[in-house]
Amino acid sequence: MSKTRDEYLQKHWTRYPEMPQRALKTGRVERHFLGTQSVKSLTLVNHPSSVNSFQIEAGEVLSDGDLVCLLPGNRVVLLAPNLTERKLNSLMWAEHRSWQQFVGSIRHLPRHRAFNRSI
Amino acid sequence: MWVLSATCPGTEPSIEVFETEFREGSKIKKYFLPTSPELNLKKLLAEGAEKIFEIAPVFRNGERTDRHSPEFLMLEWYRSFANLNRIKMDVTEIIDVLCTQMKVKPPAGILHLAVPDLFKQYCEFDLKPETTAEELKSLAAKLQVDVSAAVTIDDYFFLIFMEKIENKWPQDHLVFVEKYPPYQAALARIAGDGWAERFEVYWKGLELANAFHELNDPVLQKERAIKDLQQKKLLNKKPIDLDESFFSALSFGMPPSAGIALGLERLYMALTDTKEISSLSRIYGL
Repeated sequence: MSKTRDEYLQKHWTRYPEMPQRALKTGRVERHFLGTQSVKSLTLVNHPSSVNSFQIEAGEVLSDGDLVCLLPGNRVVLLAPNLTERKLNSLMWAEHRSWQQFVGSIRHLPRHRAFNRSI
Repeated sequence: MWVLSATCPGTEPSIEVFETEFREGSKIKKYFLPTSPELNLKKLLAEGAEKIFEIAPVFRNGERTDRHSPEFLMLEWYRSFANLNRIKMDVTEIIDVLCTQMKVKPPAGILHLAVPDLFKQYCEFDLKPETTAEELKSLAAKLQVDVSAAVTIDDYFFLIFMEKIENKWPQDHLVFVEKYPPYQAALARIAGDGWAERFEVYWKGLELANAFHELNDPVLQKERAIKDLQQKKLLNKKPIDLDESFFSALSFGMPPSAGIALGLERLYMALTDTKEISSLSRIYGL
């Protein structure tokens, strides 16, 4: 962890803030991008309701996997930092969603054949 | 679907678990039946799921009354990047839809009641986030509530709430009870005013659901979980271990989220005016 990031998390960050209103976009940062939006030069701010008004350029602090949200005015809030070594390409949800869809389809099949569910 | 858990079926101190074992040749490993799918669903929130639900059979040992069964179906759903108001809207919508489908008279209205206001109204007591076990014990004595079985501050709170407050509100209304004391936070956040950000849903005298503005700070969550295990020991419940993969998920980052666990048998009972949960489980249930 870089000194700047470490210091920000320890001294300035409002830990695990609630979801700010008027968020424009949410997700995990990858190579300083949130989807197609570069966050590197945006201003990293604390939660809008926080009394701590410390601001810093987001690229100084954010790492791959950090959960953030974009706010109007080129601002970004750190919702939950990635404190692990995990990389984004190891996310399991895509694989799991496929399983959920499969189970969902199987659940519907008997209904289409007019079976009743036992419980 | 996840059924068996090798380590942690849920840490809620007052819930007793069902234990079983897996035999593979000469190896025997202890497993538990889940008390809720909560921890696994939250792991999926950290893995990128944004709106997720599960209808799962859950198991709670030592619970059998007209409205408690040791096995029941739980509908749990979570919304990431959301707060409790969105979950309240979900609950209201679900009940409206079901009332229409089942041709049932819908709730006469919706009430949002705060726990400290209820203590003031029914117990003439100023409940504060920092109210102590001793103060609740004195209140119980004044109100003549039997707390001889109480061990923890949660017990004192719960016994007073059960006897003097619960269901004193209009039964035909859908009631959201919110602002619980911090020791009742379980897996919920604590708001800036010191109250736990959770609500319970009641209708027709039945507690239907329990919702949390989810705590996603791994450090605080672990502190609470360790405290839960200590309380379990104090209450002579079966020992369990913590689910370290849950804390790993939180360390990877779980979005600010809200979620709810809704007992499906209870909801059906409310919709159909069924008085005994056993009538729903007499074929398949325990």
